[in-house]
Amino acid sequence: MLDESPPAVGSSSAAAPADWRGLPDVGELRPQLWRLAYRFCWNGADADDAVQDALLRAAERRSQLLDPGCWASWLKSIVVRRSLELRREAARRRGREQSGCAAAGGARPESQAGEGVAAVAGAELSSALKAAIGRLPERQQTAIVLRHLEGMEYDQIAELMEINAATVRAQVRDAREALRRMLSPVI
Amino acid sequence: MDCRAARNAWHDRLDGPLDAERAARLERHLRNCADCQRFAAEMQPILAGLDGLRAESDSAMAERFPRSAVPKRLRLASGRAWRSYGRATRFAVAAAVLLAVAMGFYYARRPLKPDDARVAAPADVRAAAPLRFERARVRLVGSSAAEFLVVSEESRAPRVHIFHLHAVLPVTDAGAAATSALAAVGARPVEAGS
Repeated sequence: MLDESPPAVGSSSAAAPADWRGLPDVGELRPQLWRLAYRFCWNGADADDAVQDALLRAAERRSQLLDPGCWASWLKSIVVRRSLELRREAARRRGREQSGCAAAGGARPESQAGEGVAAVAGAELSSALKAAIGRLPERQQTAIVLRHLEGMEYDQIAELMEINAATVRAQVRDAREALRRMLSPVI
Repeated sequence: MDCRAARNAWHDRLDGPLDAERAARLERHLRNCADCQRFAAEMQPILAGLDGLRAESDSAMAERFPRSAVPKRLRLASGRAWRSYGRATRFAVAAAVLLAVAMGFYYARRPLKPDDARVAAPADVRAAAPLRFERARVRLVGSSAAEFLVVSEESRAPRVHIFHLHAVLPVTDAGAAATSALAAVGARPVEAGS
């Protein structure tokens, strides 16, 4: 998956930190970044957090952005990484709550990522699809969200994920097949 | 073409048109292989669902950032704003609009391809049995997960297009809902088996 440290995108050899003022206004990008985060979190508050955290992280590490032309792609990669982290944290929280419920003899929540998909109909299909995407390996999640929801080209995704385009294509294909296997019994 | 090659071709077709020979081999394989027919049929609701998720997140963004819905550069609030653009820019925009209109006519008149054959329908649409529609000029008219019917083309006389609808969802009222779903795109139902 994406590395822990933000990528040093681009090929510029400039060693000096990029001038933040010369970069595009983040206000213009914020809706797109929010939508990208939302496509991983499916929750407005988490998307707000992911974008805010990502912008703070970008500001702290701006010297790692070597090519200002890659600004948007660099920010997106940080948003994706932070969104996936938030998802993992949410899953851990749910796990703790679930084990607490079980210890107290409570009922388990019905729909959550990580469980098998129950029979679905109507609007539940979109929830089932979101849950199924959430159960994919993170590389596949990222690849299919960027390809099918963001509509990005393979080479753009490759740059963002720091893998080659052929691998991205394979990840997208594997993700589609995995979704079919998970959802075909219930749709 | 074996199943593995057919599925590779099927995936590749999502990224762009296949060359004629490979497309023909894929179609031939799909006609003769029940497993791959099932594979393709099961994939369609997944793709429609992904389209629905994209639309859902677009709507969420428009709600969260109401002013982001229309790109700034397209906000031509007044004639004055329009005139403020240079002559070359105005000419280029006018040419682009004319081109778009011309392409619209072209696409409206061209024979349908299977990729065109998707349609959105009300959420509780159901089809108890396959339904067929004649002269259905079907296009993607909206998007919302769980609301898609997948429509595939059957070959008929030129400019007469018969579609075979597969309900993605469990269904209660087939005829009325699906008919109203396609009414907007000029389709009319024909008797099954005709």
